Amino acid sequence: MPAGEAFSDRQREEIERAVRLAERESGLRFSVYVGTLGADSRERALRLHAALGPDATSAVLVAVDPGERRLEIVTGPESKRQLDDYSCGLGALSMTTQFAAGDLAGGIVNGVLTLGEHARTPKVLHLGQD
Amino acid sequence: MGGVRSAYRAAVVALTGTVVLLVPAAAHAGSAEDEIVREGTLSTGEWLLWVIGLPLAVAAVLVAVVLGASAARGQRYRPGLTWWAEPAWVNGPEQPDRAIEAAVPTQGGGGARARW
Repeated sequence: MPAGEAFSDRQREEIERAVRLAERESGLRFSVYVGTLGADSRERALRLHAALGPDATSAVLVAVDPGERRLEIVTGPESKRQLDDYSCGLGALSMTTQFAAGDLAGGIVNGVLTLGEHARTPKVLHLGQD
Repeated sequence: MGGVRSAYRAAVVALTGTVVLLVPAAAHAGSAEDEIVREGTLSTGEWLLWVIGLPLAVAAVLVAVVLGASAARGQRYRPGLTWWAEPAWVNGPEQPDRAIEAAVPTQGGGGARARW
């Protein structure tokens, strides 16, 4: 199969916008990888997450392998506190529902937004008051 | 797979368009066109052009519109088929290959996994 771009310019912009919104909501770093993950998809996703560098500990990686129909969401030790595994599961469900219908970009956008919502840091009011 | 589907779609559109346009023309040919030919205003070649050439031209336009719209949308993801695209990484490291090589898989984190 000839290689090409996974997304159109517009789709990529929508994903980037969703990533920015999720980051603004949560204060975490969000990253989306779409490509082959290999036989051990979890191991590969953990490596990709670590490749985010110093930010990895507070980062959330969404790794999608469309060919094998696998989705991996990886959180770091810090980001796990804000985004627990249950919330990641909900985000994964949101994404795979749309993936199964053939909407790869839409699923990623909605999934990232869902994860951002769940990882949102609540505003603390009256912090300075006794 | 996509090529076969496109060819099939093109054939269906062409055949349908031709049949739809040719049948009324053929039915009509026995009356008005005969009159016109008899009166000598249209030669046989012109008559064939109108009855066969025009429907074929319309069918060709339909095919071009259908295939053009499909081509403009580009190749899209279809579950269950081979993935064709280069890896894409939004908000990833600046030098992905080097970063992946140097990375030690994250430990102590969490997340989720799913299939569809």
